[in-house]
Amino acid sequence: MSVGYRAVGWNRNKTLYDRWLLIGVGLYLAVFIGVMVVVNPDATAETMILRAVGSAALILLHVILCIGPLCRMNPRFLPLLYNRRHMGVTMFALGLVHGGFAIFQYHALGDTNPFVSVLSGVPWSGGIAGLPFQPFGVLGLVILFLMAATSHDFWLANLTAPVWKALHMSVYVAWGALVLHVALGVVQDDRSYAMSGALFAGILIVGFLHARAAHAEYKRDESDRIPDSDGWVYAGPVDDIADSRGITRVIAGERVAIFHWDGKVAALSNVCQHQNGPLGEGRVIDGCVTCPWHGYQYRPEDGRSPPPFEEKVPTFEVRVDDGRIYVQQRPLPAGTRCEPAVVADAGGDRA
Amino acid sequence: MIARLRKTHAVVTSLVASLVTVAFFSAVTGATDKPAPEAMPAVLADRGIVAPTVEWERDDLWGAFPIVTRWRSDRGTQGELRLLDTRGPAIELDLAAPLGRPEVLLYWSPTLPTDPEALPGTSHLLGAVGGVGTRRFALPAPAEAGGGHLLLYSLGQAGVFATAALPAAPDGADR
Repeated sequence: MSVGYRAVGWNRNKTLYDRWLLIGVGLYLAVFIGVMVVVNPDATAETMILRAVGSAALILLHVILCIGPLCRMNPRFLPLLYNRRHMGVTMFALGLVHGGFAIFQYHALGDTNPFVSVLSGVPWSGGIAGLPFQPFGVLGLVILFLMAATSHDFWLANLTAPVWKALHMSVYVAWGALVLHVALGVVQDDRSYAMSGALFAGILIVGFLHARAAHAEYKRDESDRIPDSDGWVYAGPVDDIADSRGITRVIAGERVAIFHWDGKVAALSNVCQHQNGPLGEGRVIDGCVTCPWHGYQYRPEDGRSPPPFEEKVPTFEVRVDDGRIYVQQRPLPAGTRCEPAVVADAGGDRA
Repeated sequence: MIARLRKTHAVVTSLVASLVTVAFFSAVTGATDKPAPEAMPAVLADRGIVAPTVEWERDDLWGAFPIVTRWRSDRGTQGELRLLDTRGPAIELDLAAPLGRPEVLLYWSPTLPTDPEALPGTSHLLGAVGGVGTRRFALPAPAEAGGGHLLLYSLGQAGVFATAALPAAPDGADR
């Protein structure tokens, strides 16, 4: 969150993240080209660059796709998620260099427009295996361009997080297109087990991590709480929540984050306004609920970011009886003040 | 809102992962061989031009020397465009290993040499042979019908060191 407009809200963590990202990409490119010079000395410089940046982009895409489910399964991976958008833009830049070199080397010197040549140079020869590989690369690159172009918080704020996330879900279509681009292209050409095995390992890893994370999420969500006649839902004992921490409960189909701090309990929507991060997995820092993804903060008593920031999330009425937490199933409008329930030393208390 | 987004996410990832897996295996297992070198670009094939044809191929003509010999022709080629750099049939030698002789030349002669150090007076020089790989030589007019002999002559050793009887030209082959 920012007060005045800044194109990128640089901080130490972002700088470190980007520095390691660029060092990693640079090292990969150097090692790849070095190995290729030894193994395949006849390859041209253009071919080496084309393959180095193409493989780097594909590996980075797989890493990006794995970060989400890894973070759902283990919070130790959260630092990887912190600046994932810069990783995505880096991946697009590598893909763009790959596409540019490919068009220059293979399509620019004929009598056909290079962009037409990319899409029509290789005819379909029947079946899935006979599909031309270049159009899949173009499709993947176009999607990655749209994502990179709208990756800034400006678009996130203007499109709203749900629309922005729905748009960026097309990364899976880009992934599918680029896997086919490689499978129909260099894998068919090379025919080595190493190449096809590495690509299939990538599919397996991405698929397995997503399936495992989805299973864990499903198990969590299936315990939807049933409200009593007044709309109150039992959310569990106060003792289940460590001090300055939160838990997540599914109430009326949506996740609610319940926090316990300084002898008080409050409930907010689990969805951070920034990128829909899981507030319930954050903690209370300086009296504010802090999102684990990017550190956006909200006051637990009214769901508003501390001034001068203006984000706000829906709040829920809460009461504590005999150490048992009850949450009202109907959310209050975003930013509505709602007194936290006070946890009594003995017996019950009511907010 | 977020619950609906999560369901969409689950559907999209499941669908894409399934399609990608099926397409990946189809692409890998259904890959076909690259077009053979003789394959003709459509723009030429549409004009009735055909690739140089291998009329016959033999690997037993040269005794101990590992040489595959082919007879190629431009049968079917029309107009001025010919894919062989010759006006008639050609002989192709495919050497799997160096011949181990200095400065080797290939000759065609209707007769075998009587003196190993002297080439027959009717010999025609076809070209130089060296290293490994494929070399192609135009046949002179007297050899276009086949027959006669191919001679490998070492300039360095001043002698014929290998001969091969050239089979007759195939019926209908380009002459």
